[in-house]
Amino acid sequence: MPGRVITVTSGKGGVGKTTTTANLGMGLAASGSKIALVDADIGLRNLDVVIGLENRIVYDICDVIEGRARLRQALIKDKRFPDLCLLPAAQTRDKSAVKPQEMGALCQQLASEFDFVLVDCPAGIEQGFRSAIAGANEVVIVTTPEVSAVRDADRIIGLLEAAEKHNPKLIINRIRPEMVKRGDMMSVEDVLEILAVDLLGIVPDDEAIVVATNRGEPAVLDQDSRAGQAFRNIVRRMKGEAVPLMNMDEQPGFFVRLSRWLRGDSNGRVSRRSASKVRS
Amino acid sequence: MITMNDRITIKGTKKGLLFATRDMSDVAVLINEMTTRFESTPAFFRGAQITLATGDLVLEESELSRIKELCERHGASLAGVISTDEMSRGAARNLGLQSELRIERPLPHTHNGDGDEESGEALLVRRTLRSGQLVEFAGSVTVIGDVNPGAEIIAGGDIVVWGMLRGSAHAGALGDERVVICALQMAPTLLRIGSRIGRPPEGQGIRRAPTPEVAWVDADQILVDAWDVWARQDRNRTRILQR
Repeated sequence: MPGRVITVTSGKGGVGKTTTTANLGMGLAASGSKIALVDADIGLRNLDVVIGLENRIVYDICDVIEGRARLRQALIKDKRFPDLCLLPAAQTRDKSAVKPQEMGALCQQLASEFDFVLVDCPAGIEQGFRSAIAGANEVVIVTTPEVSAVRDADRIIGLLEAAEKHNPKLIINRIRPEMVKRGDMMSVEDVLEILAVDLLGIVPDDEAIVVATNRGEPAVLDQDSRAGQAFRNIVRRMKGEAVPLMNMDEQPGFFVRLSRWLRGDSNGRVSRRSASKVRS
Repeated sequence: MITMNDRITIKGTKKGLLFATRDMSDVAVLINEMTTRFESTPAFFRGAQITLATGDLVLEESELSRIKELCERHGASLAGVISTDEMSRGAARNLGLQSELRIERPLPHTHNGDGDEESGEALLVRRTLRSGQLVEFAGSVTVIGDVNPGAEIIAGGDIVVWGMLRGSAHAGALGDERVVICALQMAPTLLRIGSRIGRPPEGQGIRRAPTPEVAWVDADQILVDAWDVWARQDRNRTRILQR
């Protein structure tokens, strides 16, 4: 059975597509699936950096499409999970370099070998977007709870409908529950009222993401990160499990704080379990 | 003024006369009907600029040419053709006529989704219009669904939104200012009726109207009020009865 090809898109830039693609990919790999990540942001590649594999790039997607390298040569195996592979974007080209049919064929090829193919879509609605969705069976839309991001996500949904990619799923990223309570930020319901698509998950705003990006260690691997927990929940939903939405208001409970204290973090603050240092 | 018979509706607009066909599949019938109309009240048509709105009726260049001559024989002129059929639009262009729906500015393409039904005078859109989608139609447009911010409706007739109107709506786009825009929840970014423009008051944020509302033109301004307030105005009620 061929794998699921899922494109992660948003319209608006900077809402968390690459972060989401990296975290979902790594989370799925950690749960035992074979994952291929494809960076479709030609010219502005980022997925490699976020996963910490940028020093391993020899060939990229354009090399494969233009015949200078085989797919196997270009795919980079992750250092933590051998069943996770990355096909990097080209940095010295731009989005006219890959046509939708070429991307579609490539995704088909990957789907025959992997359980999931996650495609990181560039911002915008032009050729980069059209190529990135070309091979997708499913689409995940990432938005933040802001009017501008929601407007762009709505546009994307309209374009997806026209491209016959129906029933996209939504992830609402960077939610700040205190601001929502004060009425300063759109709530999940406000967003769904406009977009009216199925919700795949919600992710709280979390400093751990910034740290994780700089280290190349996605937050989904960090047990103490709330965003990481949200991504882990989404991974389980993607595999068919019914997982209730995270309660954004939760302070860690008494026993969690007690156990952290016992582990030696005396202020009860969240400690970084990962031993890797910030790379220079 | 509007006159109706079974096959052709003739509407007076600022730009002339709009001949809209309904359920017409035979060009010979169209020519017959037009001839009958011209001959019964010749004075009415003298000097008129006529636009045909023929839906998906296929008009060949020779047929369109005959219609053009027919108009000219009665002192009128054929200005353009509004058609959903590409060949007909091409034929119109070849004869130097305008094709598609022409308003003040050049038009982007019309988006026809899977749920859109057209029957001569009115278009029924059974889906939510997303940001960036545009629906334009010479007659009236009814949407069962929301109109999201960034979506646009341009209609020659009325606009009815059975949902939230959050985008922009332009009714009476051919010049008829007696049309209305109504919505279950009126929260538009922009309203236009005919040549009038109406904006929501500043600083309202996301407005939740308590009842369905109607927008209409009164004394050169666009007014918006609750459905029952509008209906109570005798003038308007009479117009509903007349239609």
